Amino acid sequence: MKSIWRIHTTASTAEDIQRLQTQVKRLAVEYHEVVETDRIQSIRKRWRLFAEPVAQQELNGGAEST
Amino acid sequence: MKLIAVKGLFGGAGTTTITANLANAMRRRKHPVVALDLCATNSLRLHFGMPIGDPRGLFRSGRLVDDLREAAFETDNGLIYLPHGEIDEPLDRAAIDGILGGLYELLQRFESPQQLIVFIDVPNSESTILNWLTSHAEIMLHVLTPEPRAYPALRYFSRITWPQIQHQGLRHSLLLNQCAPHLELSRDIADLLRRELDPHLLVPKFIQRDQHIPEALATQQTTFDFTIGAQANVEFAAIAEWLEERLEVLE
Repeated sequence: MKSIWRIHTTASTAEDIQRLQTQVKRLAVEYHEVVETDRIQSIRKRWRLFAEPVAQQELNGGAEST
Repeated sequence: MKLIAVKGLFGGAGTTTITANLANAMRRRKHPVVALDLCATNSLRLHFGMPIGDPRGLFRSGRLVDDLREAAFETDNGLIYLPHGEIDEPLDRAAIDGILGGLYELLQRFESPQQLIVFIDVPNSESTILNWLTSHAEIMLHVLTPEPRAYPALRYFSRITWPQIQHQGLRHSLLLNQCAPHLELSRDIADLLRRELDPHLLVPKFIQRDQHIPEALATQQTTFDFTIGAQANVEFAAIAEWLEERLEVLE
């Protein structure tokens, strides 16, 4: 069954973010993609409800949010 | 016959408005279109000018009408709408399956039923109807608005509803409604959802919050009939065009 969530690695730690950004730059993904990652991180910081990506929880087997 | 089910992820997501206006947009592209109301609130008809006190519709006295001519109404541009009808008590769940089967047969009696596009306003709480649509509809549009309750609703949808509505031949899409890019929270949630949800599931166009939409309902018209200049008209037309491609029907 197809998931409703975008399948991608979601950054959840500073190391993850750095690793993803390094990958993104190495693969020469367009600049706006890098900016988007930063934007999503800032949204997660600004609003507590969205701090944890739901998709990641689902992909990990439905672990409960804390 | 192509059935397009329009269902909200939660109450107030705008399914009735979207059903009415997408049906109208598709009719404006010269397709034979029916707008069908399966919600007991009986609100869809109000977008097409039917008086609020008029009780006529598909379901009277807890049963389906024998002849669609008793319950079908036509707008000036030839769109057929089928109001739910006023009921005194909720329909018996056990009877709903039979009623839906009977309704499908009645729809087959339309002229050129194979070309007919039926937009259906689906109630949130009636699982029997959802099960029936899962095996009969071609496209199911799930409407959500970029607001905080979308997050827990999507989680529930993903875990509980999603596995139950998988069926060969049925395609699902998520449609963002009432987007307000000028408001920080709305903009943030819309961006977050676009990032988190499978891009193939998201309708590539979204509908912005537009005051013309409630004003159109207050005057009992579709948005296009209310004012030609509404931003929403452009968005409904774009989604109708996208649906044409999905359904492989030419304008």
